[in-house]
Amino acid sequence: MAHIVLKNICKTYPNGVSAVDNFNLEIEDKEFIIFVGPSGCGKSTTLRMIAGLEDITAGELLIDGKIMNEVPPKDRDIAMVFQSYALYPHMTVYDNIAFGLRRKKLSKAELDEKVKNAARILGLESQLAKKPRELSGGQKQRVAMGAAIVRNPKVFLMDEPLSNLDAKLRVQMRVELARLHESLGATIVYVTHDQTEAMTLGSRIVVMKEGIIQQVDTPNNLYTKPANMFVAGFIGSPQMNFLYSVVKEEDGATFLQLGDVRLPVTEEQREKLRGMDGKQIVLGIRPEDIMCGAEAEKYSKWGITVTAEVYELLGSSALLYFEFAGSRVTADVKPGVGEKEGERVHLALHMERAHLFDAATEQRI
Amino acid sequence: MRTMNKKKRIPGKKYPIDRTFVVPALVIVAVATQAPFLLSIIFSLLRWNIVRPDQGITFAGLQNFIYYLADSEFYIICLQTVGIIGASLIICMVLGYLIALMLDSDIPGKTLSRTLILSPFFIMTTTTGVLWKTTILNTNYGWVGKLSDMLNIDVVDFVSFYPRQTLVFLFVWQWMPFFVLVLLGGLQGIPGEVLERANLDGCSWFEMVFKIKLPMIFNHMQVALLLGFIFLMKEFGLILTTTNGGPGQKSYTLTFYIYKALFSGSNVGRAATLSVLTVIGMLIIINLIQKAIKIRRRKL
Repeated sequence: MAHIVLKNICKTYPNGVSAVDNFNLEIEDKEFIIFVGPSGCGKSTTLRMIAGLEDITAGELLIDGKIMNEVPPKDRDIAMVFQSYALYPHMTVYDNIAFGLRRKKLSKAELDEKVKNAARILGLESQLAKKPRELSGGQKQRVAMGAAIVRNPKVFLMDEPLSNLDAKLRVQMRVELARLHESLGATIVYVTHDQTEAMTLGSRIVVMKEGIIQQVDTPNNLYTKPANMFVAGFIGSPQMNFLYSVVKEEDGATFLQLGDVRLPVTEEQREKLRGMDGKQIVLGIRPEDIMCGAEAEKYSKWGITVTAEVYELLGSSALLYFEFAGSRVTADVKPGVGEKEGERVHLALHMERAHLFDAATEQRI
Repeated sequence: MRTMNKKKRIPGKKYPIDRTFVVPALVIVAVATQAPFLLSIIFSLLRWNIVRPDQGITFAGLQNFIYYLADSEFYIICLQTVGIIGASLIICMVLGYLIALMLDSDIPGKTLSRTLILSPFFIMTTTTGVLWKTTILNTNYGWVGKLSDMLNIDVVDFVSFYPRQTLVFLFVWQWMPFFVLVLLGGLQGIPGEVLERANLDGCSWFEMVFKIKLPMIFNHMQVALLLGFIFLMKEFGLILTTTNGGPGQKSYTLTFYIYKALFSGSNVGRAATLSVLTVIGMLIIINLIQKAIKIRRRKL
């Protein structure tokens, strides 16, 4: 249905503020692509440029090979779902869904069938005669989806569509969205600041920061092979721990010096760190990759001993906070480990799953 | 000492003594707001000519009312009032909406034009009247006279020959800014995302203005219509300083008619009767407008 190309897209506001800088991306047909990043990273701006609601300062936007920069929004064959739902308050649910279609000069029966069909998919059949103010947040969101679906556009653009819903409903709508994407086979560009949404929904994720793309990859790759410290820190909860360390090469063996602890590196890491003797690097390790108990014994060559500071029981696991080699560290441990403040705990860093970053450039080594 | 305050109060229960505390406020409000109207009603039942104290003040019953209700002049002036006010209201509403739309969009010099457009609203109506009648509309030394001389065409005396139209024009000039203000407030309250969606949905300008924006500021229109109606009904200074109701009674409104009944006719009873009739008429019209709005809203 749609193939979108963003070539060197830039957005600079009249006051000189740059919102998006040199954005390059190719979105394949039927892809569910997610723009994620902290507030003000330019993700919404990029989406709005695709929609035509925002002018493109420089670069080219192509949909199916046609340059769209100057094409008015209504002629781009896109549908957008907004965070605030953007329903017409004076129209019934039926009219809200049908509104975009009315411009397409369909017969009355055809239009009716399409609206009813969309309502059926979204479970809105009994709500068609109601006004938006009589609906709950989730229902409003579904009406907004319905209005987008009936138009059968080339591209769906969604700007934080689940942000206004409560946590439970958000999970439910997330599942519905995934199902909808499956059944419609549509191209969806989705903006969110919620990494869970990004990880669960996206076939590919674009991580942005200050208007610049940090990494474009599948959810799995983003998690296991973050391109830099920003992505590593942004994806995953609780956040990845960053430990500043120095590379030491001695007698053909390579170590990472963390304070007074020496951690041997894996074979693969040794290759990467070759010739970096004395260089400062950042060791990134996710809380769940810090082992405890029997597993810590197993990986005792990477063992560390720390003093427990704060213990948070989550249920099936617990979070342990402590200080190590001058950094604050969070570990995902078995319940009961380090429960008492000040307790000495033996842990091990699973170096095979650790990430190494250049301390100066913050890029992955 | 009595231990009344030890009794526990039950929330939501009504205690008779509570009402007593409200009485002073109630009395003051009632006297301050309703006294003039009550006096009008009392005066309307009297035969009272202020330049003939010798005739005294006597009870007239409903005779004053019967006098007006049987007088064709009263009905003509009623119709005239409805015509002048109605036309002004419609023009104010339509023009006000269009100007509000203009001020709501991104045009250069928006702030300045907003201030300029709103300024007539802040001028006293008598000042407006005098300025228009003398400086602008006067056939000899006013702009109309001068311009006609320059263009060498016959000068038109708007105030004398088109008194009602002139009044409508001046009413609109004076009061339209109020409509602009209220409707602009409404337009600016429309969420941007709804308009963006309408844009994506392929709305034309016409649809945007009449199918999306208009229904969404319906409440503001209602407020503008009702308040505007009351403001225009009370308008008096503009008439006095321009047409003075003339020629003859051609540009009388009910408000001006009341003034004339008292200050030319010196008849307190009749003037009060007209006031009461005017208030009744206004209440009926306001109710009709509200009913119409309710029906319309149900349809929306």
